[in-house]
Amino acid sequence: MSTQVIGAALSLRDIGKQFGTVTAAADVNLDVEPGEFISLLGPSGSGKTTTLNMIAGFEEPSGGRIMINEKDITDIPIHRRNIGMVFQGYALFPHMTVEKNVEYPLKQHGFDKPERKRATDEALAKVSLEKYGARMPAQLSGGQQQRVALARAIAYKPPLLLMDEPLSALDKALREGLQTEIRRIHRDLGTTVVYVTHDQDEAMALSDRIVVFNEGRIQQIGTPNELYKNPSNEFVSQFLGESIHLDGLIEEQGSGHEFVRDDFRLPTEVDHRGPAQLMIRPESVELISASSAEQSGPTVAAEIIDKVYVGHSVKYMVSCRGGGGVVRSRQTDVDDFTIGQEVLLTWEAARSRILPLATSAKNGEES
Amino acid sequence: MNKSRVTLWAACVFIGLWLIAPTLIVIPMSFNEQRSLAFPPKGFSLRWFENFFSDAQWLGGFLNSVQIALLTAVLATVLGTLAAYGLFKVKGIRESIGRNFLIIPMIIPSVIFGVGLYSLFLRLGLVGTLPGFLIAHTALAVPYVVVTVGSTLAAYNVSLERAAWVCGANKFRAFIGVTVPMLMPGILSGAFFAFITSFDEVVVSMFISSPYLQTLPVTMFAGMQREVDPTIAAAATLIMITTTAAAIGGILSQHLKRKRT
Repeated sequence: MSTQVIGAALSLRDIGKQFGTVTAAADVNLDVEPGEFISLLGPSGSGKTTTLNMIAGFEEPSGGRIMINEKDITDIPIHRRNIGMVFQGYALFPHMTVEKNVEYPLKQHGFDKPERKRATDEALAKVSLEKYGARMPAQLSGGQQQRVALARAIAYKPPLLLMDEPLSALDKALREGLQTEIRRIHRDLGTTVVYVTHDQDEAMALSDRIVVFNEGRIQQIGTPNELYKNPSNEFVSQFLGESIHLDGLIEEQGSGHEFVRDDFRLPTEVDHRGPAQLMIRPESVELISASSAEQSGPTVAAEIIDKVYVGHSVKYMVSCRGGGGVVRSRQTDVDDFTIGQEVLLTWEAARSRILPLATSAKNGEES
Repeated sequence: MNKSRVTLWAACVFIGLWLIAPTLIVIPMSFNEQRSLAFPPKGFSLRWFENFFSDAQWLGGFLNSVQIALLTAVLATVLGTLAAYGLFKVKGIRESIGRNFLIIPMIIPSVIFGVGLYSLFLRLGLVGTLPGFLIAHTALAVPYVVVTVGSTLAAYNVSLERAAWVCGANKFRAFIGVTVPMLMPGILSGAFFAFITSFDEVVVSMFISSPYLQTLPVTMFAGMQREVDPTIAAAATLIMITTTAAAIGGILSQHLKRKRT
């Protein structure tokens, strides 16, 4: 019977990493709950991998502290941090059998022989590879190799498990199968997982919370639902999921504020003046023909620039003055629009979100 | 086969012969029946080999050479591997200074190296001693190991070592248990080349040898100046067989890795 692990609490306090004049990560503050599955999501060079490498100990932070269960581990060497890790390219030891690979961390942590054997068998069973113990890694497929890597990482039941884009080398079908497996193992084991990915769907599917990175900084931390519905800035809204965005201005109006374009104005809670962007998720937008009279909410004239059938729905790419994006309509809808057609976009004002645009330029930092 | 292909083949055969003919000529000469080094040899006999193995001077030189070459191979392989790994870990100007520094014994003329070493060894009482030979030959052989191990390291996936650390292995155990096995093709081939470097080294060895401790090439060189003795041809044949075997070993070990991954 497999025992549950007490997941570690991980805290990053003002972590930063400077490579010469390049800032790879800055002001990273994050608290991960015991047993939580958290994803670090962002484009390449956004600081997510650098952050993971600092947690693992491969990179030394230029500043800040890393705590595991309230204990400062910033200066503790890698091999004494008690973590498990799955690497992007599997990183299996090619000169050892599958069994020896999985046993390696148990050996290093001083488990005795019967215990090692038991834990190795258990870890291999968890990834359904119990019959492959005697094989060499090179004799396995990519998906199987990554499952061995997973077994090796969880074999000694580390309280903290790091994963660095573990599925990016696999094809789509395998990826989805392994996602399910990773979720199940996380549930069974109860360990804390920090998962790095550039794939928003993967992050959405796996995580309790997602940390969105861009240009070395955390943009937003939240549950997948919060990030999708309430992105805190333009980057998060565009990076996570499809959307329609419309440029405008926020102006003071009486005692409150209003988002203003020349085709509509909407009252807003956002306390800001200057350029802003309105964001609507594709499923909240309705397309109606330009001649239609039924207009309940705000409307914007747009042109269909492309159209893609995706099974149950049709995806329209639309463009309009000061904006554009993606709209999805159900296949069953009577209205069928053609490329080049003039249409109107309409939506319930409550389903849109207004985001002030950063007025200050970037601080000249590259990641 | 068209005309240009014939020409190409003829050119290849010619260049090949040009490179190895002087070496191959020595073999028939070592079976010469007469006391002469003239080519072509006349008749067939094993008397020069017999002479080689029954003469204390020749056999002693051969055994000295084998002993020194084996120990040099071990020393140079350990030191060269550590040096190559160290260079792999530092980057930029320190790496290139270090690498060029380690290659120095390969570049400076042996005569200069030999003279310098001789005057130093005279002071330290190392002339004609086993430690003296080992110090000299190891310095000459280390660059070969640095080069072969370095080229294996260039293809080394560092996340293997990182994986070992994360698994709880300290740096030493990760190095021995994961990195060294991964570098084995380069290490073995470096060891073979280190053996060859020591086994057929003559210039530096002449400076630091004494009548009591000589390597085979030194014995040959001295013999050549004294008299025309076809035993030299037998010695040359033996040196050739040994170094060729080592070179083949070196080449084969570089191909070890391809089979495994």
